[in-house]
Amino acid sequence: LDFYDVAAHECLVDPIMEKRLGFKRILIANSDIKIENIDQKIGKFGAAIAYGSDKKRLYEHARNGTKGLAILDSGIDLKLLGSMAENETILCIPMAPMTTARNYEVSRTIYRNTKLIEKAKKYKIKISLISMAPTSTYLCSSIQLIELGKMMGLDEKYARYSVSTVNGELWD
Amino acid sequence: MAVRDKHRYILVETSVSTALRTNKQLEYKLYSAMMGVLGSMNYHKVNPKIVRFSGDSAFALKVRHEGADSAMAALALIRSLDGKTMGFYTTKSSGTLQALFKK
Repeated sequence: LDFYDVAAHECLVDPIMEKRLGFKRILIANSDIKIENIDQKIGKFGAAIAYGSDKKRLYEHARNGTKGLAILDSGIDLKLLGSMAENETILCIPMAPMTTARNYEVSRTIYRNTKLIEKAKKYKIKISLISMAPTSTYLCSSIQLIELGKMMGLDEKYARYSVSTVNGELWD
Repeated sequence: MAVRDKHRYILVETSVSTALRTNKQLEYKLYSAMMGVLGSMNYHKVNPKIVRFSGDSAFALKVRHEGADSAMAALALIRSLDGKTMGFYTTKSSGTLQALFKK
């Protein structure tokens, strides 16, 4: 399987590093893949991934053909999940809020993501596991992404599918 | 008949060079950080131990078979050691130490 990951635009990654971590490609935000922070910008559609915590705007992005959505606060909005299922939008789970957080915040984020994944599975939404690392220190290897996915309630087969096929679909 | 524990060996690479090879205290700090992530109740299921170093930025971690998955997830959540920011990337996992370095 070919594994893919997505990192923030400040993250410096070379091909040797990509290979070491077990990825075919680590996509860098806004140079390899267009990512939009919807909490900062208003109105534009056409990004591959939109992220933020404003559910209304995430809902608009789901309806306007954005490939993947990342819900930053991991809040569950049934209307949004319904729309994502209808439009076949991918739910992106970024690991950066977990890897950059400290102490109980880590545990809280894991719990919230677990609940979000549980609901998304019920709605049959595709789940993508990405690191969204702000710097290379916060990158995860492909094995780690899979293990973190398993920790949040995915089975091994789906976690592998998530890091390979679903992440690849974000790039296509 | 005595029952032996099954083990897995994980190859861990660090984002920067560390003094883990020479500084035993730092090694204990890594175990301590892992305990912080796993919790005291689950630490025994992993029981990590560094068994071999490969340069200054890679080492083989021996863990109990049942806790191998937890160990790899825990290492993903540790981003600093002794006040220094660094990443731990698990790149390979194997049943024997020989195979881990051979692959």
